[in-house]
Amino acid sequence: MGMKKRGLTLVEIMMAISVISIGIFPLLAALSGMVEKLLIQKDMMSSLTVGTMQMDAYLMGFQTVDQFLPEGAQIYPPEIPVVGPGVRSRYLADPASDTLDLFYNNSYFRTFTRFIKEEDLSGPQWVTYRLEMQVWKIGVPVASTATEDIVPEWKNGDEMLFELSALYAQANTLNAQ
Amino acid sequence: MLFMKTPRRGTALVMVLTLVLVFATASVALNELVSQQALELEYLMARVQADYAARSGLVYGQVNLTEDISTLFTRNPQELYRSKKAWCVEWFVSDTGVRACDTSIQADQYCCHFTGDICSEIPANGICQARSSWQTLYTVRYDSIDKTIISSGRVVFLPEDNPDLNPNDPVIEFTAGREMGLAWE
Repeated sequence: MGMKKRGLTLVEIMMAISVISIGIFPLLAALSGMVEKLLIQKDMMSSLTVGTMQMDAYLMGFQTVDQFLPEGAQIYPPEIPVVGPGVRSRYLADPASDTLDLFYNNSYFRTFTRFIKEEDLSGPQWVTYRLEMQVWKIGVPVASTATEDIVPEWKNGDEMLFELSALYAQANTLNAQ
Repeated sequence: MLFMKTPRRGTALVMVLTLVLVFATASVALNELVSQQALELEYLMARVQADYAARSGLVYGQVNLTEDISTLFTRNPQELYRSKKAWCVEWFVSDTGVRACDTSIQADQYCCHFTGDICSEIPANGICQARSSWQTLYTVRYDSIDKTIISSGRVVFLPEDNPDLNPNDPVIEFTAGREMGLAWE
C-alpha cells in the first residue's frame, strides 16, 4: 500500500519533460512560425491589391505621363521614376493624401514605379512606356509633416512583396503642339 | 497489486506517445497547409501578372496598327519583364542607431552586387537571398477579317534559376488572354 502513495518518480518526471520537449515545444514553434508566415501572406495579399490598384490608376489615367513631367517639358524622357501612391497634390491615386505611404490592412505600403520609354513603340503620334512597379512593405513610414519633395528611404526590414509590369501608351500631345 | 501497476504504466506510456504523435502530426500538417498557401499565393500573383501582360499585348497591337490596319500580323512572344526574386540587403548603422540601407537613396537599386544577374556576393553586413524567377511574355495577333486584336500573356517559371527543381517536372506557367475589337474604323 505504501507504493500507492508515492509521488512522481524521477523517471516519470523525465518522461514528462521529454514529452514537453519533443511534442509541445516544436508544436509551439511551428504555430509561431505559422503565424509569422500568415502575417507575411496577409501583407502579400495587401501588396497585390495595392499594386494592381496603383497600376490601374496609371493605365487608365488619361495623359498620365504628362502629370509627371515638369512644366514646360518638350520631350518625353527615357525614364521617369515615380513614388506613390499619395505623393500629395501633384500626382495620381490620392491627391489629398497626407503621407507618402499607404496604410492598408495594418501595414504601410509604398509603390515605386519606373516608366521606361519604349522607343520602338513610340512615334510622332504615340509615346509608349513600360511600367515596372514594385510594391514595398515599409516598416517606418515617411512622416506626414515631410515636404512633398522628400526622397524616401528604404531601410533594413522593408521588403519588396510584389512586382508588376505593363505597357502604357498615350497620345503624344507634347510633340503635336 | 503488482499486476495492476503494470497495465497503468503501459497505458500512460501509450497516451504519452499518442500525444507526441498527435502534436507532431498537427505541426507538420499546419506547416504544410501554410506552405501550400504561400505557393498558391505566388501563383495568384503570377496570374495577375499574366493578365497585365495580355493587356500589354493589346497596347502593342494597337500602337502597331496605327500605321496600317489592313495587314494581318502576328508578333512573336515579346518579353515584357523578368521578375527575379533575388536580392541582397546590406546596411550600415547610422548616427541615430538605425540600420539603414547603404544605397537607400536609389530606390530602384538593390543593396548588393550582382554578377550575371545572380546574387552571388554576400555583403559584409547583410544577407543574400535568392528565390524564384519568372519570365513574363506577351503575344499579339491582329485579325484583319474580324478587325480584332487578340493578345495573350504568359508567365513562365524559370527552372534554370532554381537548381533544386527536378528538370523532369513540368514547366509551371500561367496564361491569360484578351481581345479587343476595333470600333474606330
